[in-house]
Order: sequence, then structure tokens, then C-alpha cells
Amino acid sequence: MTSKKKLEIKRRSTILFICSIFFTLAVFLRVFDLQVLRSGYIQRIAIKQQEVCLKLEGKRGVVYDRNLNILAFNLPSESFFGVPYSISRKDLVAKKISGLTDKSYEKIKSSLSLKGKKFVWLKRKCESEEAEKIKKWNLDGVYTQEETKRSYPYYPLACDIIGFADIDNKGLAGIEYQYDHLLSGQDGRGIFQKDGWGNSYQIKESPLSYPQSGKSLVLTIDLDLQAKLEEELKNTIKVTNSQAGSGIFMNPNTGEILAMSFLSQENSGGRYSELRLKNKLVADVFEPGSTFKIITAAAALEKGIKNPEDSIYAELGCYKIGKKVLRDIKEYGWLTFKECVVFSSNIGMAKVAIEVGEKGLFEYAKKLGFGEKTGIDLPGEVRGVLSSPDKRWSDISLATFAMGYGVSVTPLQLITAYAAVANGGLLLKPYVVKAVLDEEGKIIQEFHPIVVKRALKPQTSRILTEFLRGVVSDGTGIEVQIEGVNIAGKTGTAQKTKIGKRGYERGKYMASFVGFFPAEDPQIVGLVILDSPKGLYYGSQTAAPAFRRITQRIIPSQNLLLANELEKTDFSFAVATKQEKVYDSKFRKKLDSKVNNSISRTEKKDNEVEVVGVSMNEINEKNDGRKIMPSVVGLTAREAIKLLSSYSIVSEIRGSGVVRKQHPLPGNMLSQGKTCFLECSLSD
Amino acid sequence: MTDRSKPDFMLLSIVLILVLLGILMIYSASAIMADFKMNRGSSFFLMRQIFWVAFSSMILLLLLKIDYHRLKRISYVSLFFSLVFLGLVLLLDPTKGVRRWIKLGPIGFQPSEFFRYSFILFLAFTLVKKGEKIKAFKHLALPYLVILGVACLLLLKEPHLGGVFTLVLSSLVLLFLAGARLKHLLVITLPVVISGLVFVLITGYEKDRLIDWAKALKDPLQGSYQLKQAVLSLGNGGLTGVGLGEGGQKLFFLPEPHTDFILATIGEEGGFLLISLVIILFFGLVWRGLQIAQRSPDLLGYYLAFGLTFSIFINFLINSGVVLGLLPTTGIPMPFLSYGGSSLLFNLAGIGIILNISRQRGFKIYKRLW
Repeated sequence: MTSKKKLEIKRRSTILFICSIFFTLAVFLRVFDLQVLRSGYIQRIAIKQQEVCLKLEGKRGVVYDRNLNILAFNLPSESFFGVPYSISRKDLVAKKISGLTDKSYEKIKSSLSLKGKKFVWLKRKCESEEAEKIKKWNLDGVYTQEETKRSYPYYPLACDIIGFADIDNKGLAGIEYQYDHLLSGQDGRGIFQKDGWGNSYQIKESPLSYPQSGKSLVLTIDLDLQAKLEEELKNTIKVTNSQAGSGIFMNPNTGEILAMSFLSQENSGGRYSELRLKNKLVADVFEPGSTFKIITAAAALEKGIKNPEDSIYAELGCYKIGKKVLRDIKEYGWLTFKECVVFSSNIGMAKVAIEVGEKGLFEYAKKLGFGEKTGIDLPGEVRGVLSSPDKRWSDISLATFAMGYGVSVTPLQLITAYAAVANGGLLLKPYVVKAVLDEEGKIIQEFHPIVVKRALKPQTSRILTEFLRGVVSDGTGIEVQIEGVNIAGKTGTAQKTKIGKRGYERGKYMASFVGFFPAEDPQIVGLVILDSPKGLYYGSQTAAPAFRRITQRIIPSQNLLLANELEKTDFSFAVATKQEKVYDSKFRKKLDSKVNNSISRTEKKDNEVEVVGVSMNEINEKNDGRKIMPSVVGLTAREAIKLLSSYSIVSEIRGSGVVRKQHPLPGNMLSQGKTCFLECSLSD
Repeated sequence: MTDRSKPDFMLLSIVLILVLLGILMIYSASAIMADFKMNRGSSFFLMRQIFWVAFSSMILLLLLKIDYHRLKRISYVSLFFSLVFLGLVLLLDPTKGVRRWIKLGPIGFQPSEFFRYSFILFLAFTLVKKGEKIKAFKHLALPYLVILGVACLLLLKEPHLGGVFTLVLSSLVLLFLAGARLKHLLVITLPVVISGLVFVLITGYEKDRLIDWAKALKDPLQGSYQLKQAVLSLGNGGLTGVGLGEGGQKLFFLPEPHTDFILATIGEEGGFLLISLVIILFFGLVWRGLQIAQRSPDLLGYYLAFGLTFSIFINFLINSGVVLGLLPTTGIPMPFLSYGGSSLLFNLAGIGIILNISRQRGFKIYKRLW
């Protein structure tokens, strides 16, 4: 080994060593550049692809009946979605899924094949069995996400009151709509980790904002009573061959609605085929007929025009006023004022009405809540039609008004008026929500009875109760009699008005019975209406027996004969009517002192209701066939079509998916059969 | 040999740290993928890597015991067989479009790695014998350039451009050190580069990669998908990293997060600090390797230690160059860190030989060389 060689190796290894230093330094500088100098910029891009901010579902509140039976709750469910670019066999996925949904094979396949589409809902809110089935197929590119599904365990019981929420848990009708702001939870926001396939999110760190569960509601509804009401309505509709039947039961001392139902011939058999967006008991009107005679009677008594025992000649069943002839069912001669009510004499009551005059009748109709919204906490309430006495009414107008024609009322208005008669003369605001509970079930808000105004003197209410008692014991309401309970009430039979047109439908009647019991200390007021019963059509023959059957069934369970057992709920807030009955002088004082306050409060509430009503529900009171356009933005196309068709509005749809724009805008007046243009798109 | 002292402690420590870090990062990078994508359980790659570490360590210990002078015959034999394997691999079915692995049951190994180490051993043994004759082109060309040329052609056929790079560079380093003329070396490298370019132009196989590379040099986020993801990993890691196991890029954004792109995973989870440690460790490896070469008892030890050290270091440079967007994307694993049996086996075997040389200190001729 020469020293020359030594030197060469030394030189060459030094060169190589220097090269390695140089390259190491290059690597080091590049790393420094990327990880330190440019880190912030790169980091933002990385985080954008790695993280996604998603909403965390705030659970919707539960709806209970007054005995804490669950009426609406959230069922955990799983939703399946496809990520098109990671699905290798689109045909297989489309085939399997189309078997489970109403979407066709072609539709699913084409939505999966859309270019640039990253996310397609395949099947939403599957319950465990179905979810397991889909999971077993092990389809690649199909993933699942947990969602809650609104479930109504007693459906269709009380469905008109409860309403429903859509697939995104947004309330669309009934309590679900009215109290959506309380029921709907506050969604939280959380950072989720995304993977390169664009799926399987897992939560990262703690959420930005925690989801908050919605509040739960306790309704005034008694599920047991509701079930009995619906059962009996179904039977009655069948027996009387009516088009439809409805009923309301209410606590006359508090205004709490205990049960409320509308059933029609088509749907009384089972589940409803369509979404029911409106509660006909608050949103639809009818001409009440004889049940409205209470107005004339009340006015005459209060004004001192008639005493109960005053005699009135009933013209032997045939009385000519102007060109029209009034008739009674029977040829009555001389009747006392009380007997006029008891036998429901049209002629007798017409004579009284003419004596009272339009001002007096209008005043008492108004006092008993007609022509005004009751202010119930259900959406879509209308105020009915009550013509004002600006002009002098003709005698025939007065007579027909006394008989309950030429005036439109909602069933709820009618029962609320009778509640005032029953409770000593106070017009109460009916309500269906008793209390609001927080997540742990603690009461955070209670709703107490609200007195809208004093409608009648207690004395008048007592006399009217006696009249109504007479109706049941001796008069048209004899069918209602039940041994051991004194029932007071009034029958009604009225010709059915044509919908959206003037005049009456030939041979079609609205038969009704409204009453309360026990007469000496009323605890329940109830109303049964039958729409167009065939054959026997009088209220006394159809609605009255139905009322009796319902009453017979609810008396034992409600312990009505033991009045102080009425409120059997476990809540401390349960309005204890046994201590605060209207007849109780202590409570009356309290109520009287509240009257002034509550009137202003009610009025305020009334406005709120109105605003809501306009945006959502049919305002049919003008009776000229014109409607107000509802808002359908945010609904799915299908839901929108359903909603609009219930308004007789034709929808024309561009695109598919969720409605983004509508024309005309909500709130506009629309005539029937008009077309609404909807612009839809699949995702935001 | 006379002086049976202990192996170089520092080099051993460096390698040990790298191997352990590799195991850790492989687990972090592959657990989710193994579990969700492959359904093999989260520790699938971890267990395999541990097995390979154990197996390779035994080879390392074996080579630590065997005097490196006695490897001469083995080096000739292994050169022959590795060349055969390079040919054989081309007869197999391609996986992912390339033929780089020979699979023997569950074990797969890359003949390119095998050949590189065999060739370095072969070079070291023969260059000592050749002495000054290497300065003549005839002796440079025969047999070295012929064998190298054949191997390169076979590698290009796989195709494995990265393998060609590492092989040629490792060989050139050793030839240069042994005294081959620079102008000769240039004469032989130019045809390789030209033929490489011709190959790219004809087949178009690596063409896109080269274009991506040119773009990526300026802005790495404009490069290929893999490179972009690697750079996002590094940038996301920042100075201190997002934390072990916390990296988001390995969730199917970064391809090969546990093999060729493990440096990106290290950069995301351990940040600039951990990558710096890795760089320092590799530089330390070069430094210790050259120290050992300098102190080796004879020229053979010098060449061997130098060649093997640089072979590992060049692998490190090329892999980090790829991950950092300085070089076109090519499939070269990171020594010791990347998951993969054959790479680990040959690298640790090489370390075994270097450590054996370090045990035989006392080379008189080259004292105070540095």
C-alpha cells in the first residue's frame, strides 16, 4: 500500500463524506421548510381534508299524556348512505336497496351514478331488524349513521293533537309543530375525523358545542279517555253510517283538553294513509244548530228579558216570519222558557231571540267566545264567522241565528262556551300542554288555567245548567241518561253547509250533542259531532247515544262520582281542581282577580297563534274558497305535494329532493286549484 | 483476528433506536388499516414486523460472530444466486403491475435488495485484489460494469427504477473510493442515464412521475396524489407533531403510510423534532460507519464498511427525497423504519458485517486518515 494510494483514498472518502453532509443538509432544510416555515399553510389544507364539522343531534323531547304515558319519543335507528366512488357494484346495491324502499332500481342506480356525487341516502331510519339485514349484505361503499326516528307508540290515537315530525325531526303538525321550539333539541357541533374514503366518522376531542335535548311535554290529554272516545266514535260512525265523527272532552274548570279526535269513515278502520296536517276540531267550522240556542237563552236571562218560568206560545209547530216558515218537531202549544230549551223549540227560541235583538245576541255569542279564537295551543285555529250587528238584522235572521244557522263555529269554540256554562260562567282558554319538563324530568314550566273573561253571571250559569239538565231528563237529550249521574246537555241538528259555497247540502246534517256532568258539580264537558249520519240523523238519535256510551265508559275510570279523586296524576303541578273548583269561593276570588290580567295576556297569546296559523294552516273562515299559501320550503317534494294538495293547490315541481324555493310565496292568497311552483334540489 | 474487542456501541444504539422507532410507527400507521381495510386485526403488521426484527437480529448476531474475511465465498455464491433471482422474478405474475417480489409462502423478498448487498460484498472482495488496476477501464468494465449492466436491465424490466438508482449509486461510491477514474465513472453513468430516459420515453411508465416531480420541486402540493398527501402529513405535524397515533393522514389519505411513506407518518405524529432525530440518527450512522471503516484492520474491512454504510445511507436519502418531493416518486423503503422483511433483513445483515469489522480494530496503514 503506497502512500499515494493512502492519500487518494483519504481524498476520495473526504469528498464522499462532504457529499453526505451536503445531502443530509438538503433533506434537513426541506423538512424545515415544510414542517416549520410552511407548516401553517399546509396544516390548514390537511385539516380541511381530515376534519369535518358535523352537527350532533340534539334529541327531541318526549310527549307524555297527563298520566305520563309516552305518546311520542325517539327511537334509535340507523340510516344507510352510499359513497358512489367507493361502491364497486352499483347494480347490486341498487337491487338490494330497491327491495326495501319505494325507490325504484333505476332511480337508485342513476343517483349513485351521478357524476361528482359523494353522498346518497339509501335508506333512512331503519329499525334494528332491517338495519341488521342491510349490514349483513356487507355492501362496499355503503355506510351507516345513527339517527333517531320519531315514534308514536299509540298511533293513530290522538294523532290530531300530537301531530307529527318529518324525517329531519322537524314538527309539521299538532303539538309537534306548535311546540317545535321546545321539543326540538339544540344541535351541537362537533369536529369529526374524516378518512380518505370520505366516511366512517369518529368523534375527535370534545364537541365545539354540546347538543342539548329538547324539552319534554306533558299533555292534558288522558290517553285512556282518548282511546275510549276514538273507539266509540268508530263504532258510532259505523252504526250511524256517518261520513265522519268527532269529539272533544275537556275539564270545564280548567280548560284542559282531555281527549280530542276527528275520525272519518275512510280512516276510522286503521292507520291513516296520508299525513294529517290540520286538526279539524280547531281549523274547520260548522253551523252548530240547536246547541247554539244556549246563546239566546243566556242573553235573555242575563238581560232579564225572560225568566225560566215565563210562558211562550209555540204556535203549534208552525210559525211564519216574513216569507219563511219555522217549524218544530212537535206541535207545541204554550211552553215555559225553560221548556223551549228543553224541547228545543225553534219557534219559542226565535220569539225570544227577536225580543233580545241582534245586539244582545251578538254580545253573548261574543262573550261565550264565538267569533274569536279560543287561543288553544294547537296550530291552525280559526275564529269562525260571526256577523256583526252593525246593521239591523231581520226577524228571520234573528230567528235563524237563535237556531244556530248563519254562524260558523269550531267544535272547540262550542265546547269552550259550554264549559263556561258548566263552571259558573268563566270563559277559559282551552289548552293541551300541562307542563314542560327538562331532560331529567323536572318541571320547568307549568301551564295554569287562564280565564279569558267572565262570560256569564254565576246565577245565569246555574239556571242554564238547570235548563240543560232538563234537556237530558225530560227533553231531546233523554238518550243520554245514565243512572246515578246527572248529565246536562243540549242536542243539535243542523243542515250541512256546502264547502266553499253558499247554501246547504240536501239531506246532510251535522248531528251533535254537547253536555257536562255531574250537573251539580261539572267535572267533564264533552262534545260529539257526527257528520252526515244516514237514516236517523237527529243529534238526539245519533250523537246523544254516542255521548252516553262514552260517558258510561269513562265514569268508572275517572272516578267522577268522587269528585275529589279526579286529578290522580303524580305531578305536584297537577291542577288540583278539588281544591280550586270554580264553585269554591276561594278559587273564584282568585280567578276573578286574574280576569283582568289574563284578558290582556290572552290577547297577546292570540296574536301569536294567528301568526303561526297563517304560515301553516288553512284559514278557511272567509268561506269564499280562497286560501293562504303555506310555506313548504324545507319539506321534501313529496311532503310538499301532500301538504299543498290538502289545500287543493296543484304543485309543479322542478328538480327533486328538498324544496328550496316556492312561488307564490307563503302568506299569499290563493284561489283553489291554483298552481304552486316548487324548485327542489337534492342537497344543500 | 487478534483483537476481539466489543462491537461499536454507538452504531448499535443508533440502529436499535431506528428499529424500535420503526416498530412503533408501523403499528401506529397500520393498525387502523389492518383492522378495517384488511380485517386482519390491528396488530397484523406489528406482529409481522416484530417477527422480522427478531429473525433479522439473529442474522445480525450471526454475522457479528463470523469474521468478515470468511464471507468471500458466500459473496460470490450469493451474487450468482441474486442475479438468478433477478431473472426469476420476471417470470412471476406481476402484483400491482410490477414484478419485484419473490414469494415463498407468506414470506416475500425483493431480489433487488439481495443483489445490491451481494454486489457490494463482491465489489469489496474483488477491489482489494484488483488494487491499482481499477484505474484501467478494462478492469473497471470487466467484470463490474457488465454485471451491473445486466442487473440494471433486469431491474428496469421489473420495472424498478428506484432499485436501479440505489444499486448504481452504491456501486459508484465504492468504485470511486477504490480509485476508479472519475472520467471512467462518468462514461459509464451517462449511458445508464440516457438509457433510463429512453426507457421512460418509450414505455411512458415513469413519465408521469417525472412530470409530477418537476412540478413538485417547486410546490410539493402540486405533485402526485401520494406526494401531496405526504407533504400534508409533514405540514400537519408541524414542529412538534400531532402526537403518536393521532395522525389523520394514515386514515386512507396517505398511501403506504407504514412502508415507503413512513417518514410522512413520523413527520405528522412526531413533527419536525422527530424527523430531525431520524435525520441525525442516519447521519450518525454514516459518521460511525466511516469511523469503523477508517479503523478497520485492512482494506477489505475499509471497503466493506464504507460500501455497506453508504448503501444504507443512499437508501435513506432516496426515500426521504421521495417523501419530501425532492426526487420522483419511486418505491424505495426507508431503512429500518419501513415495514418490510427483506429490506430489514439485508440492512441488519449489513450492520452485522459493519459491527464485525468494528470488533477488529487496529488497522495500521490508515491510521489518522481522517
